Amino acid sequence: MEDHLSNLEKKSISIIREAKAQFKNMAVLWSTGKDSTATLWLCRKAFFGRIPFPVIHIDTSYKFPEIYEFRDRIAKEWNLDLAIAKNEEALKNGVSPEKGKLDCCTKLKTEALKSIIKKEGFDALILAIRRDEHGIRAKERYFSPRDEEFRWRYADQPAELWDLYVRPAEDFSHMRVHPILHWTEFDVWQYVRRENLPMNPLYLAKNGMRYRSLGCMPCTVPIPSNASNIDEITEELRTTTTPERAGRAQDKERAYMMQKLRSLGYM
Amino acid sequence: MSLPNINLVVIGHKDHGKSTLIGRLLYDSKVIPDQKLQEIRAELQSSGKNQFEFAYILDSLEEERRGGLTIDIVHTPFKSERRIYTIIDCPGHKEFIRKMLTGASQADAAVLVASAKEGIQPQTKEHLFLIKILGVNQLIVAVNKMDTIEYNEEAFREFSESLKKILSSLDYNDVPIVPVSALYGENVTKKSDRMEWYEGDTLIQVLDNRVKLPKPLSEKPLRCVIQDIYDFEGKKVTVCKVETGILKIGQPVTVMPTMEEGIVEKIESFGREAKESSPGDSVGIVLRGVSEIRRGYVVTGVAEKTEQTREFVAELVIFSDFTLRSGDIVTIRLGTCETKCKIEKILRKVDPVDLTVKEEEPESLENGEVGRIVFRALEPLYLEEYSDFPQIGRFVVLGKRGAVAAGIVLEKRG
Amino acid sequence: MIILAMDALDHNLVERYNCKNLMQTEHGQTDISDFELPRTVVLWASFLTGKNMEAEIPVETQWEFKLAPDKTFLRFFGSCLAIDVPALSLKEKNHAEERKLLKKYFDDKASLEDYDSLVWRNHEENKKDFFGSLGRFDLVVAYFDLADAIGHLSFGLAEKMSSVYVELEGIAREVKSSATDLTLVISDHGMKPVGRFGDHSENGFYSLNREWKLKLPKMTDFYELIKQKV
Repeated sequence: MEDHLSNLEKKSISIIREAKAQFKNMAVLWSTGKDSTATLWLCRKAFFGRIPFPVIHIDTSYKFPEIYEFRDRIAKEWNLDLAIAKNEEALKNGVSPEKGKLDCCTKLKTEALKSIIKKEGFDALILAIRRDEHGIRAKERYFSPRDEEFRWRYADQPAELWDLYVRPAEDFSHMRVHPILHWTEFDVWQYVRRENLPMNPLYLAKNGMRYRSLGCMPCTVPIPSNASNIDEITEELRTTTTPERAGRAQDKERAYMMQKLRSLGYM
Repeated sequence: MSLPNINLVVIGHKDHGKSTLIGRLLYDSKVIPDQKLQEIRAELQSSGKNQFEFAYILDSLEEERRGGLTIDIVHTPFKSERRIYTIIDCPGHKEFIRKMLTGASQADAAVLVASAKEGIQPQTKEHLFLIKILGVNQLIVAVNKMDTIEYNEEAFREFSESLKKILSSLDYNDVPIVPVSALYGENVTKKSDRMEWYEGDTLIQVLDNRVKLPKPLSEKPLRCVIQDIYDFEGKKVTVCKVETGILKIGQPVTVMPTMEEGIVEKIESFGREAKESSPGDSVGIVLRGVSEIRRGYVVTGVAEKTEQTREFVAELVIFSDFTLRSGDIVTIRLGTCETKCKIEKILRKVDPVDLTVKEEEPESLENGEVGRIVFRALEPLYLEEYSDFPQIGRFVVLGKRGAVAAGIVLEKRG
Repeated sequence: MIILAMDALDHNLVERYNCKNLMQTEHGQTDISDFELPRTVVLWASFLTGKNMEAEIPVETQWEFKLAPDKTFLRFFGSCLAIDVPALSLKEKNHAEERKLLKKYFDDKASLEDYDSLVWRNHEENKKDFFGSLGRFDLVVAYFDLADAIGHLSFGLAEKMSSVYVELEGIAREVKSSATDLTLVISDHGMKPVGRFGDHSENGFYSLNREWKLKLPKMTDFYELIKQKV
């Protein structure tokens, strides 16, 4: 395990340094969750203890108080150049999840990010995305360009060959850099443990419930669990049926589902 | 204790039982979990096949790996008592080239699967030629489908003789040739009693005994690719990745392409000072005696004489909407170096499907085509041949939206 | 009376996510065992008419099938509004678009994001129509296919489904706090996981803000029940 984590780490740091070498105005996105905190840590290692670019926190104002507390504490401890992205105008107009979740996420998250990118002129963003998170993430690359409309043209992406990460010359607004793309959820927890990284208390069980991921308060639901430390969390991960089962099984399910949907008249 | 790993590339026509042989190797070495075998049996039954098909194992694993990656190589391990063999599967010609170019690992040895009944196909020769270029010098031949010729000794000997002629013309000598039947498991992992006339070893024994372990990357000469220079506490720290060799404190080095000599004063690895660094490590180093250091340069050992290169020959595949003509100036990215090169001459255009020469000295090369090209760097460059140092022997050609073509360096011309 | 027709709302998930407002005063499962295939249009048509409509609605034309309102329990009310209700007032364009993207997803020509965005957009539209009509009609039947549409592709992803249920629970809460009408929350069938996907399951969900003391009611029972109680 030791070697495995170190190999993951080396590749991630190599990617982060590559991004710094190619882009003039970089920033890293931080949600205070375990993945982005681990990514911040990797950035610190890459640049010998200090992160020489801004750390962006998208503040929807609906986050858990524990998230704000954690954010401010770590920002001080690690001497971070914290940049808070907040869509003040939308909040003034009363945008909230009750009035429409899609609208709320779009205005308070996506647009807040867009405006800070435009305002500061960031040309590269480091994000803590992993391939094993969702289906379409599997098509992501280590260096993933966003065009002028901030769109990700995944069907049309340029090839990523070997470890030669390239910056497009045109139709480009910013590059998304994903240094932990090849890590699994399990790897991240092992790394958190090995490096003794600070962890948001929301991840640990309280009253038989804990949060598997940290979103905004009104829209994040805890899962029933008694895992109160990292070992228990990783054990829980190993034993619960994860919906994303690889390979053959997935194809079979897909074929079955298509057939079912046809028989029900959907397709 | 972990077994040493050998990367194998299996070449041969699909109809000659390549997939069956791979499936058989996996099955016999018991690396396939029971549950998977049951799944495969169930699938075969539901599509009306009664006999267990070994080729299906490979198909099944391939699908599992395809995941979301658009360019992929199937890495499938099987084992013997002494080693773990990872098969880098190259299913077809066209894909072969792209996969060869984009492959993560280099093969240490190749297994050629030929059919006793069908004989050698024209593509086989080209396949062999290509893997020779890639620096694969160890070759084993498995003459498959012996069951279809009743395990006949004379047919095998005749076939072996004609094979040996072809092999030596390609500079493959002393190649072990093993008669097998992948379908019935004869001579693959178990000695066959249907071929008593054959006194040699089984395929797996030949792999164990005849294939030498690759030289570990750390034993190769030192090559460190420079990523960036940081100003840290008043000092200049060079951040680089060790590709081959070992980097040690106090080691004298030569920086290419400037050919300046210096000494490694300090090595820093993730917040800790280190005495040495090995392949795969990304470290910060302080060099003494070097006046000019830049991203794109490479730190090498002083022992071997590394040279600058201006002209080189490369095999190139274009995979995007891009046309290349003699006289064009392109920007290539090799390691961390981005530099301009002139297309001096397009030597020939190769058909990516059957690898035959389509045209000598064509005027241009387009999307989907493979060609052999002479490049001339506008500034002194440092690179290596792909078969020696793949990490600094491969490059991409840059277009407006990113990489448009991929190439491997075949020959340095000075 | 207010009827929240929530397609594929699943009893197990309502309980797991502790959706108190969806559960109301009395809640339970519905019996749809009389039907061969748990088809959405068939189930809702049968709910509306009190008759098993399976034989009368062929799969090929099901989305165009329309019932005359006086053949349904709507006839027992003065003024009625049916928002996007299958077999009655289905927003055919919206649903056809959803089905088109569903097919594209399986053809690898559309992303999950595209599909989900469209489903949520249509959902917001129905929500607007619904909340805008409260207090103006004797009967409002509002249909929401969020759980079904999202569930077909993402039932196995806990985070996806929890946000769907949080949303539906929110609608139920809003209704509770702004209306005193007899409120029936009902689904046509539940959902069961097929890996990450979701297939229709055997029982639907129902709940009321009055005590009717029902025991595993059939989808077709509601016609008579409404007729009697109203």
